[in-house]
Amino acid sequence: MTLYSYILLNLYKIMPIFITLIFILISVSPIMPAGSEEIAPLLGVISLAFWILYKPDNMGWAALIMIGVFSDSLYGSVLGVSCLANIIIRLTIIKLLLRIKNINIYITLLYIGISLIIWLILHSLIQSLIYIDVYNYYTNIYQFFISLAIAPIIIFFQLFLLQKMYKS
Amino acid sequence: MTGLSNYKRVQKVIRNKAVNNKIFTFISLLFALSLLFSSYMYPNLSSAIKSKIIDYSSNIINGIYSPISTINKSVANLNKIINAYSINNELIKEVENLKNIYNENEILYAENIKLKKLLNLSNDIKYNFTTAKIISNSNSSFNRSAILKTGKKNNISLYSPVIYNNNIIGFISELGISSSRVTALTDISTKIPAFIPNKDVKVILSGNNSNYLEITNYIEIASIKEGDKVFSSGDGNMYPAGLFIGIIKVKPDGNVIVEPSKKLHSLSYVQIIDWAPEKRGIDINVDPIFYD
Repeated sequence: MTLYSYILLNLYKIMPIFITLIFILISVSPIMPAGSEEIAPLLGVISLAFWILYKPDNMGWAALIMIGVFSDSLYGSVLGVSCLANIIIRLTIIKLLLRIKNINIYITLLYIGISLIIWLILHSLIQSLIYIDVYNYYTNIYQFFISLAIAPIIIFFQLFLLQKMYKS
Repeated sequence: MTGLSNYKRVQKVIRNKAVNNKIFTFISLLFALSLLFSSYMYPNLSSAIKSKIIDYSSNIINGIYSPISTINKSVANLNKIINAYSINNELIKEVENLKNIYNENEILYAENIKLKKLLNLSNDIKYNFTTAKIISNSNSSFNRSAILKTGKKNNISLYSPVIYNNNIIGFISELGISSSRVTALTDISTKIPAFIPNKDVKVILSGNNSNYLEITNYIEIASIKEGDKVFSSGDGNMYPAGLFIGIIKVKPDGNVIVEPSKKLHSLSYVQIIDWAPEKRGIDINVDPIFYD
């Protein structure tokens, strides 16, 4: 089996990772109007939470660490923060998934909200540990709400992709 | 939705497979924590890993960034076209003022050169710069930086000041072979010594991840007025002296902040100053402190 055919066979398995990486790349592009770049939606986190929720078997620990390292490199944050945040997000979602009865759009949005809070708190904590006197928390709160407002668009887009994946 | 969610399948996967395995969870948590601590213990290693990843993915980043940037700029240009009439009126008034200032400056410049000659003052340090393209912005509330498509192969060095038309923007914080990261003045980790001309006031400015800079040292602020211009003082040798930083703003509570003249996110290209000690004529044998 060649590498190319192996990739083709496992395309659906790597699709969630690939889509999340693309969303991380988009989120560091100029998607926001001038002056409000610091509150750009965290598309990568939204996508990550979605795929953990719907395809937990394809979002393994190794994938989370890989996504985390890539995310830290692009955002310029301390290496390992995103890895830790991703692992805690997965742990939380998996634990909560075993307790609920059904998944719908509201539950998905709730889980994405929890994931965004975990991700932002961890990143802010790491920064504010060193510079607690001058840290500005307001932008974190705004970024959370903007991300949550954009989340339904990402959810519906990824649900469409999921539908295609199940059909083929 | 329920069909798509395949909820029973998901729960079955979690219960049966190694998805919920406690050992894997513990190992990955341990790995993430060790990665985090090693970033603090060995910052150079962490920067090298990040720079390598950005180096390898810089073409993909650029491929995604460029079209989105073009769309963003087109929308901004459209807005400018709509407001062209009012902008033009403002510009006409500004040009009139600038003509007067230009005439005054010419006299002052000639006078300054004469006085320097009389005092036998040495010339200011001249520096070269490299123009670099921004290929990605951090776009986050906890970090203010951007990735540049310029690296070691373009002869730039770590911690070089980054400017745009004599307006200081930040410094190079990570350096790869073909890419680098510029950390903005407004980032929480950036501090810059500055001064306010004619007021004889020296300040240390610090970013706080907002759009403004804070004054961190205690100074007598009574003499500082809104609209005063702030320039880099050159103290500490990190940045050249005389680069424009921004304008003083007074908050409603009376606190003084500085609004940077140029914002990193609004730019497509920046200039990286060649500020290596040997290029400034600093001798390693005489001033070894610069090479620590």
